[in-house]
Amino acid sequence: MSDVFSLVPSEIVVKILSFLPAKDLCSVSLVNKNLWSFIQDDYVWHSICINQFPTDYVSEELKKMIAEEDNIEEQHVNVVNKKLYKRLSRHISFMAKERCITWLDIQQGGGNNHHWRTLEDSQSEFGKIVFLDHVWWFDVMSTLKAVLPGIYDIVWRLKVRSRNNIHDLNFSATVVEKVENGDEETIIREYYHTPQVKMFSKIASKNDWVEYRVPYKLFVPEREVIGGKLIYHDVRLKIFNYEGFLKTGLWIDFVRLREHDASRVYDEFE
Amino acid sequence: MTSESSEGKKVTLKSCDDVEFKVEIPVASRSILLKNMIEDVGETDQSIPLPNVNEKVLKKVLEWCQHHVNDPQPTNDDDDSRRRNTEIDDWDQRFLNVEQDMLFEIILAANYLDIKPLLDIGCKTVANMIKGKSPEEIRNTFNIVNDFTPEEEEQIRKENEWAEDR
Repeated sequence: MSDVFSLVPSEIVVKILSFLPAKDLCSVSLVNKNLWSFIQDDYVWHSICINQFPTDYVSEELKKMIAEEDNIEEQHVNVVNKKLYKRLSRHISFMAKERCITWLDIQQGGGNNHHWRTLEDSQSEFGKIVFLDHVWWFDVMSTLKAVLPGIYDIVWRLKVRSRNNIHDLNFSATVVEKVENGDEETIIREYYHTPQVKMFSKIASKNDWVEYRVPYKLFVPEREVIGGKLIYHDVRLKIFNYEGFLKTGLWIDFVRLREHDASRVYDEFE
Repeated sequence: MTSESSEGKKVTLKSCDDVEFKVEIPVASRSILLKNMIEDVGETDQSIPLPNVNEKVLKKVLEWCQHHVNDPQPTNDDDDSRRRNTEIDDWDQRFLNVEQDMLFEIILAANYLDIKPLLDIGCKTVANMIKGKSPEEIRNTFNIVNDFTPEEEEQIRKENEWAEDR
């Protein structure tokens, strides 16, 4: 017996699928062979990319992806857009690469040890992490572009040295509304949280990497299309402290958004 | 005479099961197919046959066109065909709250008649019926038979790991 998805024209099935996020597309691929074959088609992934993300972001990420994998064209012709979608939708920032860190050195002019360092780390899924050596001006910022609507937990993967000097760090998040292909932006939500000092000693006592979930939930509103342009939302995640004391002894791997799931258990440090 | 002019010019559409509908031209013109036909043919008393649409579906589609008669026409710009993750308004949600067969017939009619906004919200409604469901729940919703072997399913699960949010 044929089902409705094998009876309607394939462009309609593609259109339906282009409204779905990755998690649902995976479920669809397990339904039957017909639907599975749609998910194998890279053209479908192309539709999904342009249907769900602003065009400037899609082309920018595609350029980056091609630059990073020079053999992509011979190797993965049939999965280019699938891989691109993964990059666009994963909502994670790998600090050692995308960090945007400003610092003021203790000795004006700078010495080798007085800053952030990028280090190899086999425990990181990216292979590299950043280490805070000595800074006065603490400002780690990362922007996640075109975040899909939803409710998210913010998770920082951190490690704290037992000999540390870290306190009063503010873990903030800002939701910014943007217009496709435009420069204007509007801050629509801001969140702040400053954990107590004892949290950092608790993490330090683990002597290992931890996932610290910030206690507030991040809300990213639905998108709109106005005058043919997509109104979407970037999320800026930041840890900062500009007070005049020397901070030291912190490693950061990544910050990511994870769809809020009440059943998921996180280590509590506060 | 006055009633004639205030009602505006009409065109007659004929469904595949031979039922005629007299429709005001701006309403019929929500369909790009009909709009182009009417412009090409000019004024005519002849009815326009629609071999792919039956009475029940045509009536429903015309109800949508009537409600949206004053919406701006979508441009030919390819970008505009993208409705993306936008919300469906309350009236449209109620309008599409129909049996599944009817929903797909409306989508097919919107596709054939070239009514992009209706096609978009129809497809999005189907997408919303899929969202958050397991493969088995999707099968139940759309009456689909699983034709995978357990080994094949396992293989696909592996291929899908990339999308999992760890």
